Amino acid sequence: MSNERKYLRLLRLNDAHKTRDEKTTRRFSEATPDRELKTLLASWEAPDVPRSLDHHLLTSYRTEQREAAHPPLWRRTLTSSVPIPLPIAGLTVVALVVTSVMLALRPSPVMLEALPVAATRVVEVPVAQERIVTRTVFVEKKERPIRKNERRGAIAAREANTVGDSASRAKELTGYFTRVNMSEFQPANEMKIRVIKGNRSDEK
Amino acid sequence: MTDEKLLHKASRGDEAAFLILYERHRAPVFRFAYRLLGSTELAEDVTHDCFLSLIKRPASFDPQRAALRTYLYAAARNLAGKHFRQHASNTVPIDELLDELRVPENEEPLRQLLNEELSAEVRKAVMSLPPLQREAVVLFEYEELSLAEIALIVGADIGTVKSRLSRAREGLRRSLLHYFKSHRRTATAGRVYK
Repeated sequence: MSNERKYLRLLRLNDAHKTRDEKTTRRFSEATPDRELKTLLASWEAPDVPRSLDHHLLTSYRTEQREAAHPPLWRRTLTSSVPIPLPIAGLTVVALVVTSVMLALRPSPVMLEALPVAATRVVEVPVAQERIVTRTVFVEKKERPIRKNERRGAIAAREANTVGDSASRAKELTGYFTRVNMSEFQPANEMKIRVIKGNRSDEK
Repeated sequence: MTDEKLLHKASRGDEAAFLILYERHRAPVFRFAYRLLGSTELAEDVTHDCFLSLIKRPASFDPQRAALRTYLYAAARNLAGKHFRQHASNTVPIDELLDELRVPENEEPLRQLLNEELSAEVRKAVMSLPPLQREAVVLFEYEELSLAEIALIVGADIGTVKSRLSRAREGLRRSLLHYFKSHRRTATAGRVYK
């Protein structure tokens, strides 16, 4: 019995080995090409490395090293460093941090309430146009000195005229009188009297 | 001296160290670039840029992650990828392919002619593969790198690399069907039976 068991175990072990070997062979055959294809592929040989490449690459290498040893001004400017003593650097960093914190903790300005946006609306309002009536009134500045006989005639005519006493009184007071002809005068509904002085002759 | 030490010295202006480093790795990098791009000029440009970028930025190479050659392959691959993106149609004219063929000269004329033809066909077949499959074939078949190394270079897992490799081989077998001995034998047998 024990021999049989041993035999069976050996058989199983043998089978397991066989399977493993098969798997390995399969994997190997998957990765390894067949000889014929390999021989065919080998018939295509690559050329030797051209000498021009060696020369070209060496030139490039030397140029690269020269540039690395003496970098151009712009690169030196961008990559150069300035040595700073540690205490100064530390103080600068602390000052920067403190300033940043203070700026961050500063109360923010009160936000103004947004004003309502006024809508613009065009409204046409009828406007009563003012009517301007212009009456030109001529004022005689000063009475010419009248001769005696002319004066008498004038007084007589004045007395005969219908002009009231007020005019004569005004003349007596001011030294001149206004000659207004009121015949066919129709008063306007509204009247604005504008006195135009002599020196503003172009004014209407 | 290790690659890391040489690189360190070269980046500090040691020309001799740079030359040793370049001599060590130039051929595989150039071959890889050439087989990817199918042109000597382009391969030259890629190899040049590859080494120059290494010297300019030596810190970009991490020896803990991969060997320097793996790093250079990856850099060459990236530069070739840039070229593929710039020139969407990456097919090389067949005349150019034939011009650049390299066959040993000390062979018999007929054998030489046959080898030239075979070489041109193989090259055409490899160049007709999509870039990702092509790089897998070139790194595995020509540069004889392991799947893990290829996975590291192309930035994919091993399974992906395997599947690309498998598809590339299928494509190559299809393209080069007439050059397989087994196929010729089958074809001849077919003719005899008829």
